[in-house]
Amino acid sequence: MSALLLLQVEAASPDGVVQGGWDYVVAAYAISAAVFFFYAVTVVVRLRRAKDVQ
Amino acid sequence: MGFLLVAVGVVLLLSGSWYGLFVSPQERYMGDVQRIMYVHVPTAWNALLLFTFAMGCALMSLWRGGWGWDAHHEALLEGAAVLSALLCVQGAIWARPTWGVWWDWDPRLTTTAVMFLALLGILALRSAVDDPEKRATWSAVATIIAFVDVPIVYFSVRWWNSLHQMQSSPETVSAPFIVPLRLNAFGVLALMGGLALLRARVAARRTARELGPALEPLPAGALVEAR
Amino acid sequence: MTDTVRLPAPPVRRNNNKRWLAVLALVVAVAGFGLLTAGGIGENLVYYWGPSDVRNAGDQAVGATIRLGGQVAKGSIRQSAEGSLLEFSVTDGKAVVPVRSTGVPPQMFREDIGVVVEGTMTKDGVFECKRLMVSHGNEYRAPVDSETPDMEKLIKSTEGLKSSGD
Repeated sequence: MSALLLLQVEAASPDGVVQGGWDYVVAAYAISAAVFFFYAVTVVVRLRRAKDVQ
Repeated sequence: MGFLLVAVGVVLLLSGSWYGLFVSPQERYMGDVQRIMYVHVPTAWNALLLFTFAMGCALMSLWRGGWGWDAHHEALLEGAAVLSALLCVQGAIWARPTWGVWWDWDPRLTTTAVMFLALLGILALRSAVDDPEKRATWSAVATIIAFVDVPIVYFSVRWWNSLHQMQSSPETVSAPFIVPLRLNAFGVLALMGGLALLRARVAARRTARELGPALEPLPAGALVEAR
Repeated sequence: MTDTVRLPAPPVRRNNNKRWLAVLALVVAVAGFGLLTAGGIGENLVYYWGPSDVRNAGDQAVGATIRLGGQVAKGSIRQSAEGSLLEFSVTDGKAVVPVRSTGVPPQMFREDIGVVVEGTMTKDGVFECKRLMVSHGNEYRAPVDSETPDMEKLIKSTEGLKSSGD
């Protein structure tokens, strides 16, 4: 039954190429940059504080 | 030294990311989405590498007993934890447009999540123990045992069938993709390595304070350069 | 960068009596690793079944939620015109399992690519897919000029599809 609803289309079989997707790329790079930046800030802040205490 | 390495890391990461985003060609099937590789793979390498360094410091901390090893142990654990958390997020963002899902309980993904949780656990253990001596000893033992997960993460894609692909090698990656990969790999290493050196200073100062005022008036020869 | 940290001077350094702990921890770690690798967890931990495994399991595979992994067989992809039904076969070169799925597959989906499908085997021998995942190999290649997708050709072929579907 379902085979009747389906239509065999050799030419239109998916080519498997991802179109677009820049939003994912931007998200990945932005999150990475943010994590590195904020981690660096916390390290430097803690280093400053540790110096003040001494 | 720490700040210098951080600066080198930032320069490498900026140039590598620029190359990866704007110079490298699209991948044949993944198109632009493949550019996530240039941050994801360096993050993965360095997460495993920092855990390995932490394990080396843990061993030396038990073997030699120097406080410097303990301070670097703590710093590297934290760096590895940050990288593994980031690794899982980047992986999910890359998986959605390619695999079609954000996450699945594939061996590679599961063992990586275990690595992150183990690192969190050891850091929690460290912050829960007040006695520096006990903290150093117990956390070093925990790190050495938890390190077992690192080779399992690495070999998971070979030992078991998985959704995650096997490690790439220069033979399986076209030349223009390798440049940004290497730049960012050394970039993350320099950045996180530099931050670990700075973070170790924080740990060393805290330990010195905890060990008490008896150590306060130090002779000039006892000043140790924190590296 | 020249600033120094007051670390305890060498005489106050921690005792070296923790060496046995280092050895013990290493032994535990190596033993644990050995158990994991040699102890057959590799056979017990299965992420997906191959088409041959599913075929060999026969009725046992029916009704249980399993993952089936393999390659999309050449020429097996059939998609309904409105794109809500998707049929294809998963093969490992030896056995073939037909898969029925709904919805739009990931863009990477194509012939010969690896897939992992989650779902159940039905009595009529068709795998009912609830979750379709595309797995790609470890190859990353820059497109060769002749291999770049020809958009014009692609659009034409879809137009042909529409007219023949009507």
